Amino acid sequence: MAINFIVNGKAASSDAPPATPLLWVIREDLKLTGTKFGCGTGLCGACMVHIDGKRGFSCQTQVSEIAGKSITTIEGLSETSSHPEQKAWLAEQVPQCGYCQSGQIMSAADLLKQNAKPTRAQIVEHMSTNICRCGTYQRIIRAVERAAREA
Amino acid sequence: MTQDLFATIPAHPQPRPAVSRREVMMGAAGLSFAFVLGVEGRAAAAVLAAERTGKTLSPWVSISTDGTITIMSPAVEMGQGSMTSLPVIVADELDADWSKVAVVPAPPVDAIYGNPGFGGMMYTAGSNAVTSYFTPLRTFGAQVRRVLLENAAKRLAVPVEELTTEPSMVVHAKSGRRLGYGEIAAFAEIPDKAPEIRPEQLKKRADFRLIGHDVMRVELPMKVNGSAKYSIDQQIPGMIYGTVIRAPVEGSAPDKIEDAKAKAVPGVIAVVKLPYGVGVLTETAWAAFAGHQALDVSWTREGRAWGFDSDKGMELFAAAARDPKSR
Repeated sequence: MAINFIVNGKAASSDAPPATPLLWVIREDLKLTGTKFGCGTGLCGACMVHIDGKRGFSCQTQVSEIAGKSITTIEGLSETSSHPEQKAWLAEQVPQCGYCQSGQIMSAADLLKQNAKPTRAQIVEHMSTNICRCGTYQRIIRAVERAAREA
Repeated sequence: MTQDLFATIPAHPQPRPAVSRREVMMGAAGLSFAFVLGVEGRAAAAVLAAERTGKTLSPWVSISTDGTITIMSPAVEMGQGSMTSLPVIVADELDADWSKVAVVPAPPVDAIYGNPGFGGMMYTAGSNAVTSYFTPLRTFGAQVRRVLLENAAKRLAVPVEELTTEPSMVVHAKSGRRLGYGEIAAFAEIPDKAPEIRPEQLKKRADFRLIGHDVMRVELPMKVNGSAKYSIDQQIPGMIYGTVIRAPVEGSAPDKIEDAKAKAVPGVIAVVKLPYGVGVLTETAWAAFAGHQALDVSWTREGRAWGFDSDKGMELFAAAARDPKSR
């Protein structure tokens, strides 16, 4: 039976097996490959999306759980890379290889929504769900601070 | 599954003109420049071989009549920035307007794009790209600029020594006349022999407009909106997926394979015995993981490390460290 939901403001539907992680529905079926597969076990944050406005690991969310819900991926965060986090990410030249950065940005956008003026400690705490093997953490913190300042 | 839901979402705007390799090769009008990199000692001796765009199959630099300058990037971008830094080297000596430069990853042709620091192989490693390509690319950029200058001198009927360049523009200060690189590309003739550029004729460091300055990496905008494509993002029609369970110890082979549960996973096509593991072929990425999980494999005990005990291993290592014969 098809599962209906919203992705980046548009109606979507999936007939993938109910236990299929949302991550693969987004990437393979909807062709939105900005959301990345990293560990598959909710430890690295590369798969981070927003589910009904809150961040969630798409690799740990079964497609059956998202019926009627609204998903935002990095492609839908803004139409022209104009979200304050995306602008700050460019200004601070955060990405190195870039593989984890979609997830980083989605986590950071979630923080800004809950807390417009996070402290450095709050940023570090919130962003601890996301791993960057290039080690861009210092620039990530600077970018989140900048986004909070300039948003 | 609805496949084309997102076909109507407009593409994210790119920071600079996106040019496919085909467009580079088939460019309607303009010039393209190729050169061959020597290896090691001959690295600085770039040989210029320029032809009208469309004839040279793998140009390093193409200048379109609209002023777009396409520069090949010969190293693999892995986050180290060489997709930007190598074209910047060419662009600075060429005095190109960086905002009009389109960077294209070079096709895999060692003979044309090979790294002089790795015996002419296209090989990206060891923080080697900028140092090895630096002088050849500067020389080449300067040669292309010289060709443009000489063509402009002929057209303006002035001595070439009276001409200077500003980004993507040849300037004759005496008469106030200016010719854009794109304009020159429309009429330029390419000399049979590449102009010689001696090291002292290259730009002084103080004159660099791009090298040593903060230039936005060309691939960064794609890395903040999800549009950068990684190997895992490649999808082609009819593509299947595969995963391999490897032996827990080097040298072991699959003994008994219980694959009934794996084969029952929707999307699993086949389970394949390999000399060193068991492969699962599937229709979807998720089925590869689920099929892998559902396999039950026991292994032969051929590997030397079977039964290895880390604590005993430490004693062995310590004994070896104390034994003068093993030093």
